[in-house]
Amino acid sequence: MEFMNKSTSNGVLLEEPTLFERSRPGARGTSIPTCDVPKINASAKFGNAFRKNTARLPEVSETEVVRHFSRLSTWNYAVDFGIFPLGSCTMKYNPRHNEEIARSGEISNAHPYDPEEWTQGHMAIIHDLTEDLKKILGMEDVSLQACAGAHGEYTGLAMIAAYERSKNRNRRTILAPDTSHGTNPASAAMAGFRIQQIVTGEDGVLHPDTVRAAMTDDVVCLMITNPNTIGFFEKNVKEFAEILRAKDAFLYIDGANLNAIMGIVRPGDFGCDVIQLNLHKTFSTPHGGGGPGSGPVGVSSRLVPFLPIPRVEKAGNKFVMQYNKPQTIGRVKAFFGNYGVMVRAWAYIKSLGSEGLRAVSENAIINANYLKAKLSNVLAVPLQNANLHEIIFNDNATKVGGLDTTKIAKRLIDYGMHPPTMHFPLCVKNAIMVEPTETEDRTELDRFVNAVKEIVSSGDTGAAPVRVFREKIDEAKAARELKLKYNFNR
Amino acid sequence: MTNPHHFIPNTDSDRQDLLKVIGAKSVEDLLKGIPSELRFTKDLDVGSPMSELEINQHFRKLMKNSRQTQQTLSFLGAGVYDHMCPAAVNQLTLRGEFLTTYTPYQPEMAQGTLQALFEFQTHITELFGMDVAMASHYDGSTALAEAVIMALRIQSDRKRVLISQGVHPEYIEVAKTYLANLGAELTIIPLAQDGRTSVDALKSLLKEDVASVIVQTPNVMGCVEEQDVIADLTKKSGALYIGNVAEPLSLGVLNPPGYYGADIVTGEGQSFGIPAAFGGPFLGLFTAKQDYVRQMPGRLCGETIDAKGRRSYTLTLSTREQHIRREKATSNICSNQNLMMLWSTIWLSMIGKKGFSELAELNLAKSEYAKEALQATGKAALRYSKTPTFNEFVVDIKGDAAEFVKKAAAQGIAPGVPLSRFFANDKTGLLVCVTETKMREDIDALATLVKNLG
Repeated sequence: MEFMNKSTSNGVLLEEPTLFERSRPGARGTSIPTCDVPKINASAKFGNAFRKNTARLPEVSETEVVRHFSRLSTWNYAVDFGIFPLGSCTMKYNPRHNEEIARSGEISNAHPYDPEEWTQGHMAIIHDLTEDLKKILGMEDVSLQACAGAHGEYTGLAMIAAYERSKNRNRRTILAPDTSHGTNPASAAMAGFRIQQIVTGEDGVLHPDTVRAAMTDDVVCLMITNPNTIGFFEKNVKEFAEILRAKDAFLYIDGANLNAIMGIVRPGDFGCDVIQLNLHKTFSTPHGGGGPGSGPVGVSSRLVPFLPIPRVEKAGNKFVMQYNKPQTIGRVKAFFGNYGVMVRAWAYIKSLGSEGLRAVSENAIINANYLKAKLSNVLAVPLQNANLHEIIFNDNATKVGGLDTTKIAKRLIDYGMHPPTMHFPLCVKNAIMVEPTETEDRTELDRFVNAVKEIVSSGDTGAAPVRVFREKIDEAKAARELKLKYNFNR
Repeated sequence: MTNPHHFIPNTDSDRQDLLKVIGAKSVEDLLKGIPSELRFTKDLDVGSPMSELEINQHFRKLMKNSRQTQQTLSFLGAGVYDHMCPAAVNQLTLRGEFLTTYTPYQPEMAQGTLQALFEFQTHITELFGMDVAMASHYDGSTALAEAVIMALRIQSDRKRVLISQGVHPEYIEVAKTYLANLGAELTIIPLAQDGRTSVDALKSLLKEDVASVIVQTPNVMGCVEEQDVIADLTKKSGALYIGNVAEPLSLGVLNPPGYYGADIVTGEGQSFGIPAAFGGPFLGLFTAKQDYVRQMPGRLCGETIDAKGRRSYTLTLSTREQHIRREKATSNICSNQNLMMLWSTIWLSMIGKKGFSELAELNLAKSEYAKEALQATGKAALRYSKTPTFNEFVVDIKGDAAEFVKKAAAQGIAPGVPLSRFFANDKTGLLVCVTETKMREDIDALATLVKNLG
């Protein structure tokens, strides 16, 4: 307990060791039911396969477990506390009603192999969400199998690979601009493709001539984010679609920024062939500290036959899981996708309805442009164009005094808020990417504005953050020494 | 002057104020970057807004035939297991500090998530008998698929993958999808008459081109595999041994693959208190030997110190990951099942060291009792009677198992998974799972059902 004695508390922020250090032989966190059938001697039953060395799980009381995780939780910042302006991450409020429905017994207890008669309601929800997403995206069909945006991206690209095989072709090059997300090239590699980077124009959007010039016979797809990661609408997108279609190639849209355009413009209407979304962004399902996500994939008619199985289909007046799809890429996950996440998104869409979804995008755009108006004389705005839901600043105006992007970000933590996305997209040097979302009120937006103003006007370049449970973390030491689990011999 | 919806704080008047600061007349001024011919001008047609009450009413109607509403009795397993879950687990995972936070890329304001991750990684390495555990993958099936890819990367001159027929059939399908574009070949190792992976078949398939051998234990038939023999043969051939554990509670009574020298071990963590939720979200478990840590996909949390020398945690070795390495990354994964990670960490902490073995023993006892009870009906025969099982086993019933399941469902019982679901020619097999959640009288009710309908 040496760790605990050093510092027992910091106000109400309590120190807490790992649970392994609290472990005492004999302590119990819960009661195991009494055995109401004859006991079996496991050692005799399994012989050599019987486990003699029990895993060293902690031995602690229920109180200690509850206190342990409650204390740990207080070291986190979260959307429930305030603004979380991570550009491209759409950290909006997570409605509690969605959570309540997703955790109901009806949802929680449903087994994926339950008899079909018992699961009609679940298939109805999957079907309903699929139909709603088709309308929001303007796409021919949507699959809900993928577990996250990156997984959806992989799924979309695997469908393109399957399409190529069906035509006895093997084009391998995917064009992607320098604003693209790191998952784009990584997903492409997993689907057997290679990325050729093309350059975004000085106005922050991609130009048709750039695409045309890059169109070799090996190009199978152009992968862009729209609105792009700078927060601009790729206004030439329809022309890209035409250039690609002429060669039976595909327009892939990373739908990470759908929150800006619901009810305003639909990817299917501007020529999109594949789009993947993130239910944990636009459709408000909680990030949970890094997951679970869900990555629906929308496709145009050319790719419908290749969608992953199973598909929920209506057969007469009942729903069925359909597996018989001869050209499918197959399964991308066991069972039926991250259903619990889908339920939350389904409830979100029901709550907002058509008008509400459009209001979401409009207010996301207004809030972002408000921050731009308030901060454009404080931080530099390197790319001038019509911003939608997010704004890119950088440190051009402040770094001379030593206030670089990282310093500003880390200082914001001392002001009690999460920093924006930093150093992304890569095409802007030292980018500070701000996305407030529609769920912030004006007081909260102003709290952010005032914090940034104070940081810049004070010019304080001292250590940051300091008003936190833990100050600057030594990340280099973590990588050098690699302590990835508790050392029971410490 | 109202706000458009309770999720959107701006009232009409706020909106006007904000637009004034921006210098725009209306939101239309802000949409000028979108060419007008691309604009969507119709109604999205996803319905009118609904209140919480109306959504609840609609939801209850949809759920009128669900297993919950009907208070059914279930003996389904096959990769998704029904286990007890202390009340504190669900309640702690509802804390907004955990639920509504982001990936801990800013470690100074995410120590709670990070320490939980560090404890989780410790739990999983302990359970699997392995050196390193990652912060979690999407689910068991995708974890296994990425393990196969990782093994191909390590063994870059070998292009064949041997996978046991005993691996969950949907996991095999996922691996097939993932390998379709990577130029590697998947070969199935059949099961022997005793329900375990055929050692003879493995011997004849283990050629110099084999990169990895994948075996699940207990396997899809519920049978405990001969890991010592399989691991030994695999290692001698120079291939990597990948173990998969779809029911990790079995590790309370059975040796983990790590004890047999497995190079990579994957699994599904749903058993650790995570709701069945019609198949997800679940928890992909992924572990490896220390030597392969730099080849692992996904996130890792490591211990370090802060500027004041205090023990702290951070994500580490991110140079393997997509946001740094892009196309050369070890995977495209850019999330983990963090909330499910937390769920399982709290569950494992509460169940504890002794409780874990006891719970496993309870599963074994109930399942053995069910074997006896079903056989005593004279209508069901244990298929692999000589091979030890954990909490799942196969019985052959008289007649078609799928038809039997249909009839049983009408009486509110799911007696098991008909094996025809996975193997079209297997008409009589029924995979029955009996966990601690089934009381003796529940098992007796199943036996009565088999007796009457079988």
